[in-house]
Amino acid sequence: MAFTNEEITDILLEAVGKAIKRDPATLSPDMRWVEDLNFKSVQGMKVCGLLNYKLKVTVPLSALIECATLQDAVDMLAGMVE
Amino acid sequence: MASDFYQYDDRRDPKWGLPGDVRENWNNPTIATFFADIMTPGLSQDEIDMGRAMFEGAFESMLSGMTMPPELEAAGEWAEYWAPGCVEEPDAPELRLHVRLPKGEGEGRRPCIMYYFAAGMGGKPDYFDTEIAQYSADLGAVVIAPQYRAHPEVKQPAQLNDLHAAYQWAIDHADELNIDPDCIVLSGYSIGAMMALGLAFRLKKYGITPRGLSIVAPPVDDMANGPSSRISFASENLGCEERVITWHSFFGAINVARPAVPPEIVPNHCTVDDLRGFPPVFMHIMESDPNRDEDIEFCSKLLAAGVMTGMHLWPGTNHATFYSGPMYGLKAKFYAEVENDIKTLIENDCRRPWSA
Repeated sequence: MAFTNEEITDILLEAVGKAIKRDPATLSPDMRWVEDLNFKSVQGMKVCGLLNYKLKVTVPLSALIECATLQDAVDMLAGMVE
Repeated sequence: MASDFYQYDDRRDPKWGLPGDVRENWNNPTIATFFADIMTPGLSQDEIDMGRAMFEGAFESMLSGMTMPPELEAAGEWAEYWAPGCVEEPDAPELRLHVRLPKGEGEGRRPCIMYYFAAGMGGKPDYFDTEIAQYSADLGAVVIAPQYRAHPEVKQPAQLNDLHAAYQWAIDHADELNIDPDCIVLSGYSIGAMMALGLAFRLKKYGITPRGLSIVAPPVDDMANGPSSRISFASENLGCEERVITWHSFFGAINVARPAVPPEIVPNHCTVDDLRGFPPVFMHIMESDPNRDEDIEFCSKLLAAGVMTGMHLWPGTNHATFYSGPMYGLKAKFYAEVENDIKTLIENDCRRPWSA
């Protein structure tokens, strides 16, 4: 299944919002995982799980937490779902 | 969930961990972070399905890129079988058995290890293939891992019935698989360990004593009596909050904290007399685990009943220390000890029928 970058962005923001218990509308792609979101690898598991479910790809946790910003993650995911 | 007046013993700070590798990996991601997404009372089926998909997706993510060493993969073969329901639930749906068969003829009948995976609200035993294959290769054992039914949709005793069915299937197919039906060891972690104890109680009713149990950090009581039952990780690891919702999910709110629920469902509801003639038990207990005090109490009852009992309390550890994060020295030591426990049970008949 093909996804547009906008769809991937929406799915990622929804997953991150669910993981950190925050309204996805308050998130933006330029946010940094650690500095802006205080993101922990514990929460990364939930994001990976939701991405796998929605995008039908297996996203390695290690690859996700290496991305500096949410946009970097969108770019990585776009490459994976092509 | 626990109320605001509940007195938590917050152990998120890594200072609680053994200095070194354990402390550095104190807050690694664990499956307990998904408990609330699947087990919180009142969730709709759609919400449960979503939570379970996230949980299973996370497992797939963690396992992606991890490959089994070729020599270990080559040491055995995977097989899949289906078992009918046990005598207490003959109409149960067929049970999937994930089986590892060691290669080579060996000498005589093979020992059998029942492997019960943890959590039980989703997933499959295949996630633990490396551990299963290692036991099989090192001990020349047939390992049977039943994919018991998931809660919260299906509650106890359905899961116990599934384990009973798998045990009966192993005995019925002993010739086909070259298994010694008198050398079946029950093993498991967390809820898997709890159900191993439950199955030993169930089988006792039928006059069957398994060779022994090798279990890790089982929850065994729902009464929350000991100080360890207040340990919390604020839902980032297994703490008291996760235990509470697990009880509700696993055997239903109406059955929680009711002493009349039998020990085959809640093991520490037993008396010392109930444990006479129980199979030998090797149990590993973690210091910052809400299950700690009840595990110690259960082992004390086993000892009072004259059952051969091994108890190893690991200082500076939590429920998930040995089941999350990278491999390091102490984890390798832990896995070696667990395997050695199983080896001891296989090579020696430690049952004490005269104590019954």
